Formats: sequence, C-alpha cells, structure tokens
Amino acid sequence: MLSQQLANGLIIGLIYGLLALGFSLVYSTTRVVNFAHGEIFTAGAFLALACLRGGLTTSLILAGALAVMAVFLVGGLFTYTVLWKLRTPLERSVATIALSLALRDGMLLAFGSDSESFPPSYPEGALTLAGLVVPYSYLVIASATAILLAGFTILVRYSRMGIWMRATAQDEQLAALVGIPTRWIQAFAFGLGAGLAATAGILVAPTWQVNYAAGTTVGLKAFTAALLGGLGNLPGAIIGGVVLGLLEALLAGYVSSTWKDLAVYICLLAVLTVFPGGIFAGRKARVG
Amino acid sequence: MRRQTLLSVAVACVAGAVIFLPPLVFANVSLRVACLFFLTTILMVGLYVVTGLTRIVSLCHAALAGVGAYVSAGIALRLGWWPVATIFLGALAAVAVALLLAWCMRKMEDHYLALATLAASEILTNIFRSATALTGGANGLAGIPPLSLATLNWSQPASYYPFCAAIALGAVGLVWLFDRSPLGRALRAVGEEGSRVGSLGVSQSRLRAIGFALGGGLAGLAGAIGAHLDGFVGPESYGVSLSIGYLCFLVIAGFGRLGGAILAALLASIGQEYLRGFLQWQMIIVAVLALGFLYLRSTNLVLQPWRLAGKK
Repeated sequence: MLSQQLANGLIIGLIYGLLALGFSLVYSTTRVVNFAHGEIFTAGAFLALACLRGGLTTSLILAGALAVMAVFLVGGLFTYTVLWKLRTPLERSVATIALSLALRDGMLLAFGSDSESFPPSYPEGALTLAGLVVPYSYLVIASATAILLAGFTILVRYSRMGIWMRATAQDEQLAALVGIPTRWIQAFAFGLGAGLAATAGILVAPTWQVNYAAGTTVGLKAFTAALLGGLGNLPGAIIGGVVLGLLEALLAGYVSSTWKDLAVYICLLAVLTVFPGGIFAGRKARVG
Repeated sequence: MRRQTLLSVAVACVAGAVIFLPPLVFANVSLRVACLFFLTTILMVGLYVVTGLTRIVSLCHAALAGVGAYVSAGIALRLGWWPVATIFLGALAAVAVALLLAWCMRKMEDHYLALATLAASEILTNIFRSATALTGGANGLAGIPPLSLATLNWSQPASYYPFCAAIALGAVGLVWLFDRSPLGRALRAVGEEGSRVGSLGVSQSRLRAIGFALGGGLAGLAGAIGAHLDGFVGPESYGVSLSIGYLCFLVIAGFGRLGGAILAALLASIGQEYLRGFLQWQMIIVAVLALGFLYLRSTNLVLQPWRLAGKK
C-alpha cells in the first residue's frame, strides 16, 4: 500500500518536475515569473486534442508534436513582442497574469467547462514489480521525463544556444554588448519553457482528464517545485517536483485528500517566508 | 487658500447631492447597480493601495474580500449581531489576515510577492471550500441577514443605497488622505525605489505591511457588505481568477492613480451588470485589453492622465 502510493506520487512528481523545469528555465533566462505556466500546460493538451478531433492526424505523437510546436512559436512571439517591451518586474508579472486569464477563459469558451477525456493512447496493462503495480503509461512518462531532462541539460550546458542563454541570465546588458541577440534568446527560452509545459500537459492528458481550470492548481505546484529545487537549477527542478509529488501522495494516503492541496500551498508560503528569494537565493542565479 | 477651501466644500456638496439624491428618482434596478459600483469602488481603492502605492501585485484581493464576507456572515448568522457592526468585524479579520501575510512577505521582492499572494489566495479558497463546519463548504452560507441596525432593516436597494454610498465615499476619502499623508508618500517611495528608500533608514517591510493591511481591510469591508446584500456567500465568488480580473481592470484604467481605481470600479461594475450575455468573452477581452495597455504604455502611446505608474 505504502510503496504503491509512493510510486503514484513519483509519477505525479515527475510531471510537476517537468513543469518546474520549464518554469525555472524561463525565470533564469528572462527574469519573468510565468504565471501562465499552468494554463499553457492545459492549453497544450487541448491543442493536441483539437488536432486529433479536427482530423489533422490520428497519431497522438504527431498531434502532440504539432501542439508543442505551436505553443513554442506563440510563446516565443509573445516574449519577442510584448514581454520584451515591459521592463519592470511588476509589468512583466501583470502581463503573464493577464495572459493566464485570457488562456483560461479562452479554453472555457472553446471547450466548455466539462472535463474532456483523451482517446486511450498508452499501451494497456501494467508491469508487476515486486508486488508493485506499475502501469505502462507510468513507464512512458518516466522515460520521457528522463530524456527531456538529459536533453535540456546538454542543451543548456554545451550548445551555443545554451551558452548564450546562460550569458543572458547572468548579465543581460553585458551579453548584448558582446553581440548575443538577447531579445531572440529570451524569446527562445520562453518558447522552450512553454513547450515543456505543453509537453507535460500532453503526457498526462491520456491518464488524467483535461479541464480548463486544472492549470491553476498544477501551475502553482510547479512554482513550488521549482522553488524547492532552486530556481535555475534544472535537475533540482525535477527533484523538487518528485519531493512534492511524494509529499502529496503521503498526505493523501495518511491524512486526507481534501487537505493535501492546502498543505502544498502552505509549504510554498513557508518556503517563500524562510527563503525570500527561493532556496539557493544566496548563490548567483544561473542556468544549468 | 480660503478660496480653494470654499471651492472644495462646494464641490463636496454638489458631489454629495449627486450621490445621495438618486434614491428619490431612480428605480430599484439602477440603484442596485449603483450599489454594486460603490462596493467595487471600495475594493478597487483597496487594490490601488496595494498595487498602485505599495507595488505588490496582489492575487489574493478577492480572497481577502472573502475573509470579510465569511466572518461577517458567520457572526451575523450564528450570534445574531447587527450586520452593520459585523461588517467592520469582517474588515478587521481581513486586516489580520493581511498583516499575517505581510509578515510572511517582509523580505520578499518583486515576483516572489505576487507568488506569495497567489499561494495565500489558494490557501484561503481551500479553507472556504473545505472547512465545512464554519463555511458551509461548497454549498456556502445562505440566509445571511440583510444590513440592519436596531429596528432599521435595509433589505431594499433604496434603503441600503445611502449606507453603501457613505461607506464608499468614506473609503475613497480615507485613501485620498492616506495618499497625501507622510505615511502614504513614504509608501509610494518604497514602492518605486525600495532599496534606495531603505538606505535612508525607512523600514520597507513595516510600510508595506501598513499598505497591505489597509488595502486588505477595504477588500474585507467590500466583501462583507456584499455578503449581506446578496444574502449568500460561496467559495466560487472569491477565487484567483476574480483577483486577476480586478487587477486587469485596474491596469486598463491606470493603477498609479486614485482616479484610475474609481474608473476601474465603474468599468468592472458596468461589465458585470450589463454585459451578462457577453460573460464568456468578457474576461478574455479584459485580459487582452490589459496586455494591450501595458504594451502601449511601454511604448509611450497612452494619454497622459491615465498613465499606469507615476513614471516620468
């Protein structure tokens, strides 16, 4: 019973971690707290669903790829045009907050308030490992998370784009001075973060149901995970997500599922109170 | 100086007449909308203190209104106290919650403040929804007594209109005075140049707490009065998306000035009352408009009087 709950918590934690990864990446490169991150998570799933229903394609992978591409492009464009113009943290926060409202109500308008279910897309059945029932869908989600984490770590550490992103994160003006196209880099990073959120949304969509309002809760949990892992610390984001997922599973199993969300939010407020700039705030913010 | 005083007294008299005469002329429906406007005004000037002066992006303004509403409704229902007194207890409860939150936020900066208010909003709405014994859970509390004082019972718009108008005038006056007081000016300075003002020996966190508590108290007051006018409170009325909506209206109308808050209240209450059939599109339009205004302001195309912040 306990180990089963921990396994479930682990998978949910990986999803939170994927979201936190994108959030962390965006914050450290652009200094934007993307309040629309949770809504982008849901929007990704709805876009993939729209591709499937619209008859554009029948494969979930292709539909998902289309949706992620679209989110990446729109997110990048939004940063290149709107966010770039807003220079104070206050204006940038308000802009992403307004974006979240527009996305949320847009999805309500387009898909209604009922939860939509995806066509079953994962292999049926489950693996039994030492008395632990692990559905195949969990394995898919876990391996996708591992691949994405590895890919992003390599991208950020070793590729030229990643080096430019880190330079922009450390000092935007200095980076611009040595010829790095910081505006494009910020747009690219925001697009990547949004794309990751959409990917996470599409990965869980076949096992959860998609609802326009789900993003707010999930987004807030991603913020918590990113703060727990330290903003800008990519493996830390996944670890933060897993810690949060396990915490939730234990609370739901042993206390009550009514209060588990509340516990997470109180945890977020407590972390912010004790570490006002997030954990690891003392160190210079960095990516990688 | 004396002429100015005379002029302002005259303006106040005319404004008073304009505000208090309508019950003699108009029908109940438009009076109800006017009261909605007054309540939204109280809420918006509170948000102006928090976001415009203190520069905290507050995502828990609606939740603080909820604290006021639940506390006032609960006391009036269970103890049978006069609602005219309990609404102020509701406001005090919101002040207490805001002070607690301000203590949590005492060392935070910029984005983290907004994140903390978002967490606070979710905590409060979760409590509204889950603490069934106190708040009635998802069903909310029904049958809340209308505003009353001793033998006076104000259940009709014509009877509660003067009360709402007076409270709204009082709230606007309070914030107007606060804005011009040394405390308010110091707060504005902290909002604009936090670290520099800190180096002058001004305690940022204490000023911020004062601003946040004042704004939260006004939100609580508006929420409490609203609960007695509607006769019902439920958790759905105080969620994050409402707070975001208020914020967007304030951005559209201009969040650096008190006039902007009143205009925002006018827009919000007109929107809420007359664009009902349009409800689904309304928030999207509001959000996109807010984004547009932010963008335009940053490229200096917006007219002077409604500039967002006091940037020169």
